[in-house]
Amino acid sequence: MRRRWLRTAIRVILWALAIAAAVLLSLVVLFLLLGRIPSSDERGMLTASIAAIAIAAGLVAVLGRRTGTAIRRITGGDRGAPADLARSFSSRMSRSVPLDELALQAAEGLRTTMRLRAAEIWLLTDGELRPWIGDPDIDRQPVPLGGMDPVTVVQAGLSGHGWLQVWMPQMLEDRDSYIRMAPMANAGELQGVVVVERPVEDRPFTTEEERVLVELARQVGVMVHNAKLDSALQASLDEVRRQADELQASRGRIVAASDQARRTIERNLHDGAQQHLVALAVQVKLAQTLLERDPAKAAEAFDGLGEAVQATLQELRDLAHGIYPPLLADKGLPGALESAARRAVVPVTVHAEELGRYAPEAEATVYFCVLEALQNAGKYAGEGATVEVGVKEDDHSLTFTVTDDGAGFDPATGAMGAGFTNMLDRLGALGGSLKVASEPGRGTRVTGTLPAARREGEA
Amino acid sequence: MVLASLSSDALDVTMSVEEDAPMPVRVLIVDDQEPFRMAARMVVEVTDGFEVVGEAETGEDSVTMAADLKPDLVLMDVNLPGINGLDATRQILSGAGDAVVVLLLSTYEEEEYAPRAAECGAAAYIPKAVFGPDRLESAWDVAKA
Repeated sequence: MRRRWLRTAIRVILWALAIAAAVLLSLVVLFLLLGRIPSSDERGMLTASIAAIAIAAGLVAVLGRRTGTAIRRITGGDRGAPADLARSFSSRMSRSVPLDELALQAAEGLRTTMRLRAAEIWLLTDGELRPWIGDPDIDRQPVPLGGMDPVTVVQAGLSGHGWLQVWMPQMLEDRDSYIRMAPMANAGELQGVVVVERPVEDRPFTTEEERVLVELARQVGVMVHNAKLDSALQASLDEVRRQADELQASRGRIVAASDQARRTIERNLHDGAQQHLVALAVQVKLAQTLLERDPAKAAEAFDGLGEAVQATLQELRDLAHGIYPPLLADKGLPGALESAARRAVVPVTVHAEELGRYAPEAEATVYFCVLEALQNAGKYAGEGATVEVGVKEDDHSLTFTVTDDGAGFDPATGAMGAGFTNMLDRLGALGGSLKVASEPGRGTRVTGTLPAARREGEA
Repeated sequence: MVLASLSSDALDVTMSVEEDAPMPVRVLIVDDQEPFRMAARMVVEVTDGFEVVGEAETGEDSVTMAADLKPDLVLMDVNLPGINGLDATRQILSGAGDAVVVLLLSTYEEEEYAPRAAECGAAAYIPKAVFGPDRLESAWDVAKA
């Protein structure tokens, strides 16, 4: 709005200056032809004349178009104006003008071209029509549709006093004028309505005006519908962006977790199996030395070797179990979970009898998530707590629950530990999900679900 | 019979002390891994002229025990919890000086660690996998030559 006024002001000033300069130039030429300099009386008159001409030029610049329109109206030449309004609105829609500015232009355009008391645009929101934009501003309460189906308003098309009195009397409150209401719809879906009012002392609405009103309301309806689509699209984009960020972070954590796992395996190999093997090597060498130096002692050394070999084997077995439990590969989830339950520091009951065999990554995910939850229970559930583990197959998915009757925690305040993040990442990577329910003194229940189909030919 | 036997035993003891006139080399074993401490103890015990006086599991303990037990030789693992074997070696040598010989042991390859062993003042570096009576004796002889 401000820009429009600024443009008008600049136009006025430029017009006035241009005309004044032209008049001044003409006078200079005239006096040069006459061959004399104007007297001081004449100069005063001429200055006043130039100023008057400049002001007149400014007025014409401001009022020229409106005067022309008024003259056309008086002479009956304005019949095309409302139709122009619909056409020009349609062309403006294709440019990137903000929605509410377009709507205001529509209302102002309607009011001006049809000489209305008011032009209002209402939007359908949560089952009621709410005032949106009007010329002048709408000062009215929302109108509930009540039991009426929005489609009824669309089907009614352009409605007047009679229809409104029956179906939407609130719209008529405090109005004593000609009134028309046109539905704003897109593909039969009501978006809102356009309401116009003309004083009764003026003329009634013409068919042409009604046709323009219906067309304009339809266009505003399309525009509102598109804007809604835009904002829905934006919301979807935001959601996709959020998911992408989460995926990125999760990938980072998976890489870090995998590096951490490598370091742990390297550490375990170095501190465990390798140390046993080194000690074994020393003992073998010692036994060889003793064979030469003291055969009696060599026999003792060989006895010790057997024990050392067994200890090394056990160390390797434990290590392998930590990397990928051999029982899981051989026997599947029931056997592996039973074995994990026996090693847990809290008493654990496992219910997983009905399971078959699934993709290795699905089985490993369930196994390690349950293990993580068991470790959490061991750390936090407290003295005397017991744990129940349940795994079941349901409609191409596996669901596990790990429930303890221990100390519990407040999920709202207690930060989710690294254990839960690991579970979320593992499940997330396979399109699964995790729920953790807990409250202080009421134990904790961890539930995870992931898609999993039985392996072909497996029980 | 009993008396004779007793006197014979006593004689044995006296003789053995006289024969082993040079005192055995007193060894402190430092390693956080139990399997290797056990193997190292076996090696030291079967090597003539060497005996184990103590075992430490950390660098800090090794420094304290070296000051208390005054061993002749320390078998020092490189990777230890707390201060590592190189730092522990420096501390032990700064306290006891030439009175003690430190041999560094580790699972790492000899090329990797031998130069660092020299830096911290250790007499030699022996990869754990080849440690035995022969390496123990030769390293001790070289250090004391």
